[in-house]
Amino acid sequence: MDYKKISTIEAIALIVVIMVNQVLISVAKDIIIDTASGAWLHTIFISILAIFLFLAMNKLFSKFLNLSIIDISNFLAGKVLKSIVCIALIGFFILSATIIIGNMCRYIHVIYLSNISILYLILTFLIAAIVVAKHDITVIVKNNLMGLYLLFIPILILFGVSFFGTNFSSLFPIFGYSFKDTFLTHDTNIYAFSGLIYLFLINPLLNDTTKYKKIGLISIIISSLYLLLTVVSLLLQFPFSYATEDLFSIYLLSRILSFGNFLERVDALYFFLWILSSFAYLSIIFFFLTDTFKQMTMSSSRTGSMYAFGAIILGFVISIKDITDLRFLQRNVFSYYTIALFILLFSILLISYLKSKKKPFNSN
Amino acid sequence: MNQILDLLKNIFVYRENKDYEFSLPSNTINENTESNEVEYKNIHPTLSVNLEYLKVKYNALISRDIKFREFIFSSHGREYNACIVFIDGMVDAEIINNFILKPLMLIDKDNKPKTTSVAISNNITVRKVKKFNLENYIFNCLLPQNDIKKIKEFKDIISEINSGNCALFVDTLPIAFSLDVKGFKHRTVSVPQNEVVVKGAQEAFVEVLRVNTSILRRIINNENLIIENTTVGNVSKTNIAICYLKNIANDELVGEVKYRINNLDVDSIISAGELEQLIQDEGFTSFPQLISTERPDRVANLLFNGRVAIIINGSPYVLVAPGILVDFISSPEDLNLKQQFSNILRIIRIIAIFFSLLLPGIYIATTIYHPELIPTELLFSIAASRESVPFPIIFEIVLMEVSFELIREAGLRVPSPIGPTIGIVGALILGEAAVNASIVSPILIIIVSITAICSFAVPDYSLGFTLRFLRFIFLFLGYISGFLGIALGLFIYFGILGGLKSFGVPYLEPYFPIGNKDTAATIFLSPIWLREKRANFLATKRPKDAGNISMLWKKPKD
Repeated sequence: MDYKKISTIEAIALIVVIMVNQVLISVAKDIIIDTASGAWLHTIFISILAIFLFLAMNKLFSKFLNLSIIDISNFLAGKVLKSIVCIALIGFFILSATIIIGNMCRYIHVIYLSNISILYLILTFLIAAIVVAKHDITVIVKNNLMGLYLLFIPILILFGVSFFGTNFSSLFPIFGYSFKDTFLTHDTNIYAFSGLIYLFLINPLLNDTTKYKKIGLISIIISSLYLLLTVVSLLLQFPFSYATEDLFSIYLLSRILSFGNFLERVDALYFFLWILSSFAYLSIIFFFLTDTFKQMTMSSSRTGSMYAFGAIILGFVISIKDITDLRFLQRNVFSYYTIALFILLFSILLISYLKSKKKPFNSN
Repeated sequence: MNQILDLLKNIFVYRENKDYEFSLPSNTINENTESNEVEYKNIHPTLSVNLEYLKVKYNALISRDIKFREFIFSSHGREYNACIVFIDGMVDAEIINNFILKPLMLIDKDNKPKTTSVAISNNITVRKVKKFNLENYIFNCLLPQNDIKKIKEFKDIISEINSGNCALFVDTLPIAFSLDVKGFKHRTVSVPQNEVVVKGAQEAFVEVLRVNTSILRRIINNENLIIENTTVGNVSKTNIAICYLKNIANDELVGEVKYRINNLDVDSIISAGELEQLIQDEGFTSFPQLISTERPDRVANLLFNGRVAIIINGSPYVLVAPGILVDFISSPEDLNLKQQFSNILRIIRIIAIFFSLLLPGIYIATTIYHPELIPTELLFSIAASRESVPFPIIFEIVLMEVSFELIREAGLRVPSPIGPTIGIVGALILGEAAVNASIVSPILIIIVSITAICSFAVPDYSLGFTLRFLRFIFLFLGYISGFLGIALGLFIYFGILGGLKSFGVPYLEPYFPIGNKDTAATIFLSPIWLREKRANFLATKRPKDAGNISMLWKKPKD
């Protein structure tokens, strides 16, 4: 499949935007609920775990430069496995899109636009994503890159405001509820790094595939820092129990931010940036979703499937009744689905690697 | 009684309207139809045939500015009928009289063919004369002109006459001579009207192609400057010059520009604006994709950077391809100033673009959906100022924005001495009256005024138009869903910008995708001695603009 290629920085931005959006929605809150004051240590732990997983992926991908996991599955067991992988990936993308749209629309509905039907809000998100995702990947990454600059400055300000003049006792005890909770029981929180799934697909898009390792490592480190800053900011400002509030916790953090007597509340600005960021994330999801479908069905265009998947996602989001259902979907379905998908893709990669050692892979 | 009857008749009796009335018949033709006139391709050796054909072509009996001056000239003992054809008003009569008619008509009538040898046989004298070629003789000896062409086809000679040249037809010759005698009146080179700078050159392009190319030649002062001529327009045959530096510009870029210009099927082109719309990549987007400038120094600078300029005869604006977003927020003044000042000006312009595009939308979004963003005292003051206004805020702001656009449009259309008056009456008097009448709030006047001032700070006229148009969209989006709507608009706006290309160059270069920034084609300029490279995206033949050390005097050789 021929793609327009993206540079190393653009690829990093692509992966970071995916991971950062996971953090924004509720991963940070989930981590705090699970591990209390040990959340920051837990974050560091799962970040290191993610880095190791990626290094293993990188080693296995060394035999398959320029190929995505879909091509590799085709190489391993033909069209059947390729179709299975594609269907599993499509399910993952639909789930991701449903969760991000569902969360953002419901938060916006509660906070600002309670007089507007949630259907219109969902449609707004879908329109934004589809309009941009209809372009090629280079346009999407350009939008991401712009969004990324805007995302980091606010979180640094939040962290700065949280850091000064607060009581650091909320960071202790460092193991939170227990050592086991911090390091063993809740390792499923690694789904925060669901961007790793996209690293299975990104190779054919890269200008320079030799930079794959650099791209993966830098994006995981940046995302880890973002997650860590968010977790620490939340820990410093709120008691653990506050994290169980329905609104997303990072928004609550932005509400308390004040620049003296003049600018008393700037949470709307933060929300504005997060909306932009979620649009960017959705456009990435739509690109990979329709591209995977295109590869599976060998169709010539992505446009038709884009509207079809838009309708499917709309149906899913509408069918979710409230935030509680969404939380269930995220915590109990998405997280396990992501981990299972990662294991599936990793296994295929590993077996293909071993197979290619015996019989070298011929891309022709 | 009769008067009453007449009145009643006038009211109730039908009378056929006998007033003069004109209307065009409805057009039933959808395709262009070619005329049935006989078309001659090549020039005929018989003068009368040629003249008859040209008189029909030019409708000489109706168009009285087409002049046919017939005369006889002698050479080598023979007399030849000849005729010059030109358009009155487009030629220099002095040149025609002194350098065409005089040499031809006052030639020594006794000049006989030169005899090379004489032989007498049977009392008959046979003289061998040197072979005489009339065509070459006229070309080489009789026409003291610096620009003369031999032309064989009618379409070419007609094109030459139309452009102000004089055609010479001579009986027995199947060719015509085209003589450059252009002498029409045109505007002299003057100061730029719309791209004013303080420290730069003070000359602008004019409407005459050759004057414009000569200005460019003078500035660039290099033999590698190529000026290729072509024509566009099936009817207008507008002369167009494609200019580039052979040793710098990318051949594919030059080829693409030529390809687009040579593949236009239009009847006429009379301005740079028309051509711009016909050769740009994306027709439906409102963003400018070619630089349009009246400044020769700016065009020269862009040519030195590896771009291609297109000069259109009859237009004082020159197009330069490709054009990227950075070009439209740069002013020609920037390169004349130190980089600190240029960068400050550019930051100000970016702020101006931001406000020009988004300020009304943000105002409406914050006042309706996000009032917590506004400081409390200011919020009270806004609320108090709107207390007596009966209209919803959207009506109020649209009313003011439309009024402002009307004032601006009226100010442009009225004669220049009245223009400022329209501005003063419109902006000051109407604005104050509207506030006093509680139709709009004072804060809104401030918002609209800031937006207007910011829109004037946008250096490119076309980009200014785009921002004016998009401002209304953002206003509407802000009204229907606050920051969500504005975010939606911005996201799609950046998406469109991201997908846009100008002659194969991404519109957001050199930032998205990331390219080299040691050039002049960036938002923030580095010091001039560090601008060593030409822009990557132009793929020039000379990637370096300066040596590694441009100020050699600082590092004297030992």
